[in-house]
Amino acid sequence: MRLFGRNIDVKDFLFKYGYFFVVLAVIVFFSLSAPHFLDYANINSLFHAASPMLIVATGMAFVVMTGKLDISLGSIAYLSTCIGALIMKDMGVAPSIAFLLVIVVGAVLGAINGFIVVFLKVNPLITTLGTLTAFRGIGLILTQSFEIRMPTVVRAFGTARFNGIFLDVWLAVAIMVVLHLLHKHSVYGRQVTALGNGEDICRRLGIRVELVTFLTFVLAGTLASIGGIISMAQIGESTTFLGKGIEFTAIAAIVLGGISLFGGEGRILPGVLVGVFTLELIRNGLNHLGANPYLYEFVNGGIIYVAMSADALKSRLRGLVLLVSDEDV
Amino acid sequence: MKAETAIAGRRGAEERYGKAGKHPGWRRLILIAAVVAALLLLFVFTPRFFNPLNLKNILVQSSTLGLMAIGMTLVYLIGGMDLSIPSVMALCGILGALVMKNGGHPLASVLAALLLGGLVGAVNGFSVAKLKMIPFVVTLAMMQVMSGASTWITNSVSIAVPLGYINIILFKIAGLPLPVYIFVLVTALSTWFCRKTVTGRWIYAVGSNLGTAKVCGIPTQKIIMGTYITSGLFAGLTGVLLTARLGAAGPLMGSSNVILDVMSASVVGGVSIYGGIGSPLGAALGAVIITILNNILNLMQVDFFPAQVIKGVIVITFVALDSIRRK
Amino acid sequence: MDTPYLRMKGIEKSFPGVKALSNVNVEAYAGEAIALLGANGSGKSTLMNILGGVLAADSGKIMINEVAATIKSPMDAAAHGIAFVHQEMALLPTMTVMDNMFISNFPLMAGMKIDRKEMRAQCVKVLERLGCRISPENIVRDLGTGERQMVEIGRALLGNNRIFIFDEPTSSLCKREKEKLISVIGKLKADGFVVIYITHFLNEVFEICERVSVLRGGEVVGNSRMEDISMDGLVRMMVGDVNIEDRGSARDGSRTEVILDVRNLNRKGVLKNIAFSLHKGEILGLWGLLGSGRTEIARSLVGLDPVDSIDMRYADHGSMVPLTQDKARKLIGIITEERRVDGLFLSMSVKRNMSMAFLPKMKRKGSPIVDAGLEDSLCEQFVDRLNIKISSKEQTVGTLSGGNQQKVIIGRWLEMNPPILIMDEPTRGLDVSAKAEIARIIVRLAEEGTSIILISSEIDEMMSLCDRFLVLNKGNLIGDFAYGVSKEKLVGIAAGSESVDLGGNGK
Repeated sequence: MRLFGRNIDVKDFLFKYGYFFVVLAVIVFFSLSAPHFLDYANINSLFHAASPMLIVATGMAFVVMTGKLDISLGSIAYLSTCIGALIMKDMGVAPSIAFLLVIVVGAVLGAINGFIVVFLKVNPLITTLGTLTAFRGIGLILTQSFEIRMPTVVRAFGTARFNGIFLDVWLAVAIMVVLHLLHKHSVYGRQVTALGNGEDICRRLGIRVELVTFLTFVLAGTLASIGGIISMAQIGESTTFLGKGIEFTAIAAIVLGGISLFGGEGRILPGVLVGVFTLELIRNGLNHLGANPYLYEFVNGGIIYVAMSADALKSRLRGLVLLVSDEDV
Repeated sequence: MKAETAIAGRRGAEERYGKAGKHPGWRRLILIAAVVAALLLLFVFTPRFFNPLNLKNILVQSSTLGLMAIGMTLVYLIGGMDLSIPSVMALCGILGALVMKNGGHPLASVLAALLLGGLVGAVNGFSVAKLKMIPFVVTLAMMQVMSGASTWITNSVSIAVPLGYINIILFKIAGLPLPVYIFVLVTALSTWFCRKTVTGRWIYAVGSNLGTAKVCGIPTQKIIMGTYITSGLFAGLTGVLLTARLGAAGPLMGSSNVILDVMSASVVGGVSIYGGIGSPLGAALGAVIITILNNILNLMQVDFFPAQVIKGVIVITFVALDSIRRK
Repeated sequence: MDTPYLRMKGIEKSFPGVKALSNVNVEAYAGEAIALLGANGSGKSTLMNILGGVLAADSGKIMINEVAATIKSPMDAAAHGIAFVHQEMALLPTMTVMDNMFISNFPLMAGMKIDRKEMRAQCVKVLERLGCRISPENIVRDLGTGERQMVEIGRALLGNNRIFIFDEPTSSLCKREKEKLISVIGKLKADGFVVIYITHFLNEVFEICERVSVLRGGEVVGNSRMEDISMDGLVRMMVGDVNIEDRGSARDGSRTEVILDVRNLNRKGVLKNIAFSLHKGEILGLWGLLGSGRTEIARSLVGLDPVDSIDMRYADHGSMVPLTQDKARKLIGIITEERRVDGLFLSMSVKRNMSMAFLPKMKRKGSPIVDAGLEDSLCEQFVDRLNIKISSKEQTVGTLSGGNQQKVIIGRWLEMNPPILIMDEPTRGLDVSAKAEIARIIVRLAEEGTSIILISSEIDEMMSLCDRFLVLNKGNLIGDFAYGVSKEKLVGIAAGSESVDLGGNGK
């Protein structure tokens, strides 16, 4: 079935673009069953609500593409924004400077993850499970579990629009574009995807596996904190459940966007964008249908499971390499 | 994480443990020494710890944590992971409570809980063994499905269970309720099973090196499925016991700090997350240790969140020590 | 061109228990291709791994252009202009051909952005040079083995390399690709580069190379300019003196009854219509080059590898009954090619490793418990019989020497006592005395009635042990010879320098 560019291999096409069809199906289903679904206002607010997720999911995508997972991103978002909120409240620091610090803290927290995974060689799943707990715990200690109101200017940013589209949506999309370009056109970006093919092969090829992995965790942490800032601005305060569970939703989003959990595949654009959008659509649609909000987690889990089986199926169907080529001696 | 290696979690403890045996002796020694030191400190600083009521509580709480930890350990032994245990536990408890709420016999309630647990375990096992999905992701998805279902069904409100049921399950023998004995029994049985039986050996083989296990003719898929089903069953059993103890079943039973406790218990008990190393006895002891730790933090009036931080650090430390020792 | 561009002097390398290289000297001249010949275990891969920076030599010097070179890693090697085209390809399956070629070497614009246009252009040029019909955008996992090899070679051609090592480059190529590669190598020589060519195909050596060095047992046993040597001479240099340890009675396998009959063994792209019979007490050798399908056949018999079709029949009390792959497990033991990968449980004890295949039969009556006493005694019995050097039955297998590890694996199957035993490279990586011991064990097993299928890349070993030889080439069975066939014939057929005599007993 290896026909280069002359005939289209149906199987391959499905593998690569299958997720688009899922999106289409979702849009069709909900627009038919729920009124006002495709309203401009609805879509606009949908993107608005999804903008923190867009950024966090992009960070998660980088980690997944290297063949690893990071489930502490929500806690990183929380802790870094807590610190920002606290210094704004207690030390009267201006929001812009505070937010800069938040981003730095995000990077540092990501670096902690990176350090433990790369240098202490602890399994990333265990590591980020531990830091998920530890980081949120520290945040809760620092804030004494209180919410912290955001100054007016921040809240304004959280609801501001530009040309009718929310400011944070513009920001999220801009960040995604930058990261997409980074992934596609930089050495680092290419080596991220390479890592998902196997660390041993990469080492043989002269790729600095440790460095790329470490940087990826730092990147994910940074992006998580940016997402946290937007979330905090939207809500208007720093709450104890900021970012809680966002990692799992992010995973569901990126698998919907065609990024394989095995690593080494997928693109930021349109992948992550489509995935987050679809997931939000599903939530939004369910909401419109009057479904119980408790159902979201259930659906999320279901999505991850289905996507994982599709991934595994693809992997099995691809099978082994032929030892002998067709045209022979 | 390619598909094949994902199942056995990076070729088990194999290439990492070179010279170490299956039950590293020095680690046990350190653990015992630590326990003794801790006891001494306790005696000095929080004598309330030795209050008989407190000790009894510890045993009771260890029972439920321990059962889950043993289930988790079996899955760890084959090189997998089961994040869904606490959520399954909660849903099973809820199902059992619902059965009785609708007039069902307590026995039916228990059976329903176990059945659900086993079923979920079967789905997990099938996904990992036959469909070759990544254990972490599968059980993560399942965790969400179970947790979502729990909150959805109960509308976030706990369901009470009848007093008669509680009395049966918490029946006291020599001052200790039934669950403690069940815990001890399960620990003994599963440890014996792992150490002595053919299937037990096979479990270690699969976790040690999946490839070699296949070459030796071991039915690896059945073993993998079996461990996940067992883990699910134990989760169901825990749900039954915990519901009785709490007097009601609710989604919070499976909240996110429980999985951390279960993992801590296994890891502290000497189980390697890469497979092939550890035993149910270790997990049981680990569960007791973690429960004691929780208890002490409580008695010392350490807040919940700092306690979480401490536990997070402990897990990472133990696994890191594991990793460093191997490399 | 009078002084060698590349000189490897006095290279020594040992692994635990094995001396891989002794005082090896190799010289390669600019503008020439030198063939490096030798059987598996001769040390040529180790030598090239040292040159390529994958391994470090214990002692010895590498001089490039008369300047000493320190090569401690693949990146050092690359920095010295050494390109190593491995046989096991280092490719990233999910990425494009282009990305694969440039992954550690991207052309950059303004030092930051990858210059895709430039990358594409260079990639197209290289692919054209190789006569390869793939496009830079193709995803590597969609390519066949031959094309993947082209990508590997392409990557080597792109860097600033002056020394090219090709390790069995043509084994997966089709005719057209082969010819193109030969012309590419010709151009490399014309450009003044050094080519080191490792192959088993002797006719290629004459076609491509100017010099040849032959390794055996970790030593260089011969150097020659191609113009000074004939094909026969080359074969003789490779196989050495005809020094086959006589087994005593030359056994004619066809005299005993058939115990296993295999027909219609097919696996798309790997095995084609394999059919053969195994006789009781026979040692049947599967002979062929790497990639010919020997290991695949072995693994297919016991269901470790999937097959498209297979018909097996087994002699049960006089008549041949059908045999499924599942049931075959109980009758056929298999010692796999790489003991450290799937032959052992490295962290478990000798005792447990040995009992692992036989556990269900080691239960105490009516209980699921393993009979510890039986396990102990069986272990002792076979440790004794096989003369395994261990400090105790509880010793961790990972700490044993290669030879002893191999014996533990053999012991495992002996405990099960299967009528048929497959041994895939049973003496690989072992020192001479260990090899001899295992050979003796194999012979004794056959004499006691076990039927053995033996796979080995060492011609001497095969010649001295096998009653019959099945020769394979690219998944096809091309010859069936009885004991008595000449070494030259066997080596020749596999190396493609001899025509195949499809009629049985060649001479």
